[in-house]
Amino acid sequence: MNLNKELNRTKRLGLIFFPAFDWAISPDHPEREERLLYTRDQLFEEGLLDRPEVSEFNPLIASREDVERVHFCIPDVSNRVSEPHLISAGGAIRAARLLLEDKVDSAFALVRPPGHHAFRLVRGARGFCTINNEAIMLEWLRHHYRKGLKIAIIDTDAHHADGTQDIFYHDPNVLHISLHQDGRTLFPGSGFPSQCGGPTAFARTLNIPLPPYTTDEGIEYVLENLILPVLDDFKPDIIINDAGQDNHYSDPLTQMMASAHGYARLTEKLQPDLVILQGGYSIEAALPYINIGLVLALAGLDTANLREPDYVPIRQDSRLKDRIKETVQQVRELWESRDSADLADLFRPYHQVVRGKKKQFYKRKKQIYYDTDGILEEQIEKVRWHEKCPGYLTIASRSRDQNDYHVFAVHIPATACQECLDDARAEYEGAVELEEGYDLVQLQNLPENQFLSHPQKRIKV
Amino acid sequence: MLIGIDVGGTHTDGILFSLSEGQIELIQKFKTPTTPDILAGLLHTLEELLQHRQDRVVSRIAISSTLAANALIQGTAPPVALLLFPGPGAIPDYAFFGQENLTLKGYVDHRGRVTQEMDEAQLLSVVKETTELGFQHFAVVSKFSCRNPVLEKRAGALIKKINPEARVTEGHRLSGSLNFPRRAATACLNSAVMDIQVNLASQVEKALECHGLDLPVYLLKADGGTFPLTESLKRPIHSIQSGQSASIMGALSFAGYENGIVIDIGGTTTDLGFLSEGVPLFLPHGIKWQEYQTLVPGFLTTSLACGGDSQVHLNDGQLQIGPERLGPPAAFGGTEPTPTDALVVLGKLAAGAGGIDSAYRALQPIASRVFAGDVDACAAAVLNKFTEKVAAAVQETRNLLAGQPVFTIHELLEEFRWDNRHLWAMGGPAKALLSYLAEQLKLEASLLPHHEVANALGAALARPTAELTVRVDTDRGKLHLIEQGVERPVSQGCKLTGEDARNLALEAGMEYLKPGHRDDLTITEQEGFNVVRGFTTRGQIHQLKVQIKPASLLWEVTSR
Repeated sequence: MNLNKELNRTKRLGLIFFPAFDWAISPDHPEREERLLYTRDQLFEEGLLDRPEVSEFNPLIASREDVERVHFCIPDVSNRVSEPHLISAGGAIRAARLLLEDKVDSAFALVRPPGHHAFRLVRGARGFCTINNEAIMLEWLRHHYRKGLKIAIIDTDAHHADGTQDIFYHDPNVLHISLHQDGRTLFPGSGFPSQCGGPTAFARTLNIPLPPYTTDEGIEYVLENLILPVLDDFKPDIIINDAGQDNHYSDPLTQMMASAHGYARLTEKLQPDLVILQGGYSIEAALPYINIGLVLALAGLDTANLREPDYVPIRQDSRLKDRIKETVQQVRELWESRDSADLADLFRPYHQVVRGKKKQFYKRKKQIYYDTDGILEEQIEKVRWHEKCPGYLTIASRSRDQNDYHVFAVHIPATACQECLDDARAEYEGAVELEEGYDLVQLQNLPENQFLSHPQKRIKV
Repeated sequence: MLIGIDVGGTHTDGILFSLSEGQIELIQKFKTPTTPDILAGLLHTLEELLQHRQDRVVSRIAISSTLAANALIQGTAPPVALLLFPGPGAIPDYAFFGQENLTLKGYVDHRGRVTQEMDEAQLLSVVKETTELGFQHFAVVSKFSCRNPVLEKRAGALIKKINPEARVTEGHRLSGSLNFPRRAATACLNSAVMDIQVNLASQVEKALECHGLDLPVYLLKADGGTFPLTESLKRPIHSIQSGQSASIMGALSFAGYENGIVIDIGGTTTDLGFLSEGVPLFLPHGIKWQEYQTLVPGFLTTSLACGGDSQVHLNDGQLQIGPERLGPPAAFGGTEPTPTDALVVLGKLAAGAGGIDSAYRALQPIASRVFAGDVDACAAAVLNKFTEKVAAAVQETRNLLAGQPVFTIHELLEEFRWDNRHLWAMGGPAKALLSYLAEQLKLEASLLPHHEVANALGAALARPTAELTVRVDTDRGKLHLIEQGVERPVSQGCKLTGEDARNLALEAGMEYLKPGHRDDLTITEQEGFNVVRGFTTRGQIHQLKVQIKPASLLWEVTSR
């Protein structure tokens, strides 16, 4: 009576669908109660949740420690992060847990709000994000499974995933690939091929800026000629897709021309293990159809009939094709040079004495603007450039507002060696003891699962 | 006086009773083996009960019938041609539930907008073709007909114009809920059993005529409500799987406001229902019948393939009960050992035609192999096994309920609580098994009054129910009363509060569901969202379900 026309072998998909119908950033913000309403309608109407390949789960609630493992929240987690954010991160964690427990072959966290614009240090909300749900998931995975896991993040949101990039910029075990509308034409204004990771993780960050009006064809070209070959080389244990859906031709905030079917094909080829929704605000004309496409593709079901009711095929301008080819070539060459590049030439080392010995570092200055809260922050970030291990990070941060916290934060990755661990701790202690120093000193000690915060003079209450 | 008849897998039960001042006075009860064609046993039971009414007035007959289900399982139901308007999305094959499945041009989107018109010429040719192939039963289903039924209505009308004798089901008439494949399955099954329903109605009418009676006959639905037999002709599928709801309605009449489990131990199966604060737990998306996921509203029930007459046997040295029933228990003339025989052996139940010796003999082989010949120990083990299976099913349901997907932060943070307090049992072996069940499940247990025919009683006491889905889209300026196929204009862009929406739904409920009293209506679902374009709120979408909820006639007297 009933046929099962499937392309490949069907797979078990775990879906965490949490539309948070009772929450909004603010009453007229795009990140609002009904963002996933029509997606809910389409999902239910298609009957996909009845399919044996698809199982539905509730999100967990991320713990304070889950957040502290990734972020330095200023002044602390409870002041910055509320339930909806913990639930969004918890949705991602649930997806990871399902995968770990082998209950599913892949998992999709269709949750809100997004997280990929949240940096490691959090003073407020930016780009609709407060905490980085997918970085939290990744660290949860490494903490509960294996700290040396090789993970690839493919961010296909139309906006450059500057937050996620920042968090893993010096992490050689995380390959962060972001394809997005060119930063010169869209928030957050970054994401160029030259931003390719620090010296301890060179070419582990790959940015592919795409011209406005790029279509499915352009995105597929990037996938076939850059992403898939790179993944073949990197051989990740887990592939995560940050599936922002604002590349769609109907998205109100961007100028890209992707379609639901294009998304489905991308997913079929990429075969991610974990997928997390990021941005995408064309809630009626795009999200319902893209998400059906994602569910079908992840469950190994037939996507031949998938398209928007108003879909008209779009041909890509040949000039765009050429530009995309150029960018792909450029990034490809960067990747090929990852082991042979002269790092000392590309990154000027900076030396500092730690525990009586002169050590090599790499320093960067960053300016971060929190558009939602109107905060302008300046950071001086130092990474310990150690040949033997990924080293550790320190961030000195102040904001333009003189009354805001002056912060010193130390991050020790789980794979740091003993020398770096001791050095980092010494730097933390040093900052704490400093007389006319910082208002807030924080430590993320992943090897010992220790998260400390030292208030010095508290200015704000 | 009221009559209730319940057709079970093994037996057809009937009850004739009077209801006055909240008291039930049993006049006559009757039990007969269910006949293969169902109808013979049913009519026989009706006949028996009518004969005992003497000169008193019977005000109501309620039947829980398996006629439709039976025809579908036996394969005697006619083939159905399914006309689909699936539009883009998943492949339409997932909704192919007809014996002939035709996909047509035309699409309604999630807002109820017709984004692709139907092709009348295509529809005409398809209908002509299928009629020529001999199809007389049709189902017409479009995606999102629960937002706008226009495609289904037009196609349905066209079919009837070409073929006035045809039986047609339009999906939106069966439910206002989402789920296109389920809608297709439900519509096909509905059309397939329409003739059977007509036959049932006419046979029951004839039987009543013979007694010179003309009184309302109701059918029990899976959601514990009843609807008039005449109305059931259009929506016979709603009466499917009513057996399980009969037992729950039986328990509900006496349960008060407690949390607990309803257990109906039949011959072939044991059915479990669940009460939370006196309200049966529902399946929000519709019941599963056989292999079909449907949109038929129903209670959350679990059916275990082991009943009082199930065959007890060894499987790899392990004791197993069911799933087969190979005739009556040994103590009642059969040949195979059953849980009933175990009860007889332990002196908990009186033996029938076979005598207590037959029960012993039937259990002997298993006792010798696994219990060193101790038949009593074997019997005790059988009963333990039985209650273990029940306990496992209860735990599974608890897990299912705890893991139910929720979509609001409020619900996610609210802890799931369902403390079971009580067990209400019915069915032949119920009395004998009561103490075992109470111990295993660690609950207070009670036997329902008239427990042997509690199903029939439940059916008889079940009040009429009905449901209406009300959807207001002020951005589009439309109001839909989905199951009624009604569309009305509303002031475009107007704003409604939650309270306004509720009142609107209640008014529509009064108009179309015609409850005895406004208090009988409840809003069981409600949601409201803004429709925003750019930075302005252009309108709102409110969707509510208003229901006459299932209730027992017994309450009417005792509570008011």
